[in-house]
Amino acid sequence: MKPRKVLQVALGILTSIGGFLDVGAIATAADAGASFRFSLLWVVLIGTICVIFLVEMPGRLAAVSKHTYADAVRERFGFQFYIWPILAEFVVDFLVLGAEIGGVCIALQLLTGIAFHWWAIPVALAVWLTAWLGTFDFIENGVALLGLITLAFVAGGIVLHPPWGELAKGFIPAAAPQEPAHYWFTAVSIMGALISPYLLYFYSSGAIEDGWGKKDLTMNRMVAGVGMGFGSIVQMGMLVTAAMVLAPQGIQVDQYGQIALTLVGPFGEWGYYLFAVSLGITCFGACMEQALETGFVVSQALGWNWGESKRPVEATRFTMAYTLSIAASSLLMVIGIDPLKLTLFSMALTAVMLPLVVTPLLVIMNDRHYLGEHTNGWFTNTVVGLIIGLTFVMALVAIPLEYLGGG
Amino acid sequence: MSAQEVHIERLIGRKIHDPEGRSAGAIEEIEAELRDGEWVVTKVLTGPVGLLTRLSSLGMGAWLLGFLGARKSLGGCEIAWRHLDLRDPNDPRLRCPVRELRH
Amino acid sequence: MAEDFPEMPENGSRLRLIRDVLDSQMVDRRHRQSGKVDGILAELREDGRLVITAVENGLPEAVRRVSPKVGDWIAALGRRWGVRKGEIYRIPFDKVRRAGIEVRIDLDAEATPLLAWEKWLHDHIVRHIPGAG
Repeated sequence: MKPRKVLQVALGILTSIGGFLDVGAIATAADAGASFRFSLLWVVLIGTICVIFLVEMPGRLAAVSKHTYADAVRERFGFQFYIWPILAEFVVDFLVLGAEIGGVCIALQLLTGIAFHWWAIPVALAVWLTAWLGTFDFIENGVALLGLITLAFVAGGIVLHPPWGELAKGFIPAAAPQEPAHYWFTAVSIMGALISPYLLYFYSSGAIEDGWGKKDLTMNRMVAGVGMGFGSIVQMGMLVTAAMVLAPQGIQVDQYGQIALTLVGPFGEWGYYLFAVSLGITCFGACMEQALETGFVVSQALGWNWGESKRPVEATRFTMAYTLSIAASSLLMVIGIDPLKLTLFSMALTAVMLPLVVTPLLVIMNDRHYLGEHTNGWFTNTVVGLIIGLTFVMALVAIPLEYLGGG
Repeated sequence: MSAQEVHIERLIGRKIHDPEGRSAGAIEEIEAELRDGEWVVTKVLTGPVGLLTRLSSLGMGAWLLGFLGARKSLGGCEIAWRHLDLRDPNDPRLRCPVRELRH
Repeated sequence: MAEDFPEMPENGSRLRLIRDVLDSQMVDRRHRQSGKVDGILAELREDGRLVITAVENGLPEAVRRVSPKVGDWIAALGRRWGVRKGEIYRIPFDKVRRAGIEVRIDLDAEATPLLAWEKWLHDHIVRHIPGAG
């Protein structure tokens, strides 16, 4: 592989690691560690394997066909089908973006003491300005590289000297040690945070923005496999630190301030600030991705020209779409909705709509009109089939579990 | 008599019935052929065959049915244009019984 | 006709209208994304032939496929408030060619209602904001 390519792959992997965490991953991992110690590590592992496939495929689709996943779903399944996942996506995007803005606001509240809802409009403005003035490269690479600060959770987990034997057992699927409804709700929430529909839309759009072609298929596989794989270690680090710090104290996570303790344990007072900065940066990056994804999805559904790498005057409908999205979602924080509760609720809702979003993959990734000789092999099709099955199970149990064990 | 306008996209999902009232399935795909500079509709595909053709998944559908041990035929019809009466696009009709069509 | 606009296929060529035309991305002469094919129009001629005459673009047309009532309501909203006044734009089928997984149209989209909203937003909002380019 040429040196320039190696650098590109390395950058892709690093940005995957740095951009892995978002408010949902943080909240669900902290809840899992605090309530069940290491018992839910297997869910993070399975979720990561799913994510690797769900990221590689739309990347491959876009690189080969120059069409995004959103394009392909409308083109193959028609507007009558596509309108439903699109409408569901708008609702979820609205809530998740609100939660991500909330994450940044909470980070600023932790740092300054000023209540989070006062930060909603400045944060929304900052997100919008970055999207307005920045290019896709800057947003994807710059912000995500800053997100490498979240490796602090991995470091924290190691510094706390977890019982490695018990930790290893956490990777083996097991029944709930206690509170089965809460256990399975947390499991579904972790999966909902990991297997997010926005991944499919965002990564295929990103491949187009980056100008990927067939020559980049290996890079796509490496970024998906290695990047997401290492990225999940950050989330596991989050879970482990919560298990080591919060669980022994019987702390049930219902505020972000409690999650900050996960880094206070290993790093003392600095850990508090480290957590706040990590939360702020990762959620800011996630805000960018979520806002742009709304723009991508509506533009591609309706056939508009789009592109974060274009100047705003060159793609006015796309830029207005993400502008309205940021403005609308920020209102959720302005009116003071609890960001953590919003996060957990939107993860459960994501789980409900997943089958609608993921099922078309099985058709599209086997369509030679789009992929030529690069269609799925039997192994990938089998994995996708299993993932689809899993999403149906999650969709069925998510809301009942929310009532029974969501708190 | 002026030509009647037909919205092709609104035909999707419309069930076709024969003179005996039997259903030939719902319209899933419509094929046209270029004849002397004009694209003329030549056939309509209905049912699962039509849907899978539209999704470019005929092969996968047949494989899946085979894997599940289902019957070999996917179901659905290929209806040549001459057999179709589309004077009322909301109620497409066959000019012949379903049993005379190719399945 | 643009230099790289595909030639008319040979007599006898076949086209799957739902899979290959409906909901496909339209790309104009200048390779700009120009909306999706929201509808396909045909004429039932006196000789019994059903001849494809145009493709259509307009959100009300797409929505009518899901719910005619909601589609009509969106059209009414468009007539009152929309830049395109609820107009469904029709492109004659002889200006349409299938090219791979896209539909190429032998038009400059900027000279048609296809980019009306794009232009309106540009002229009235976006270009007035600093940093818009």
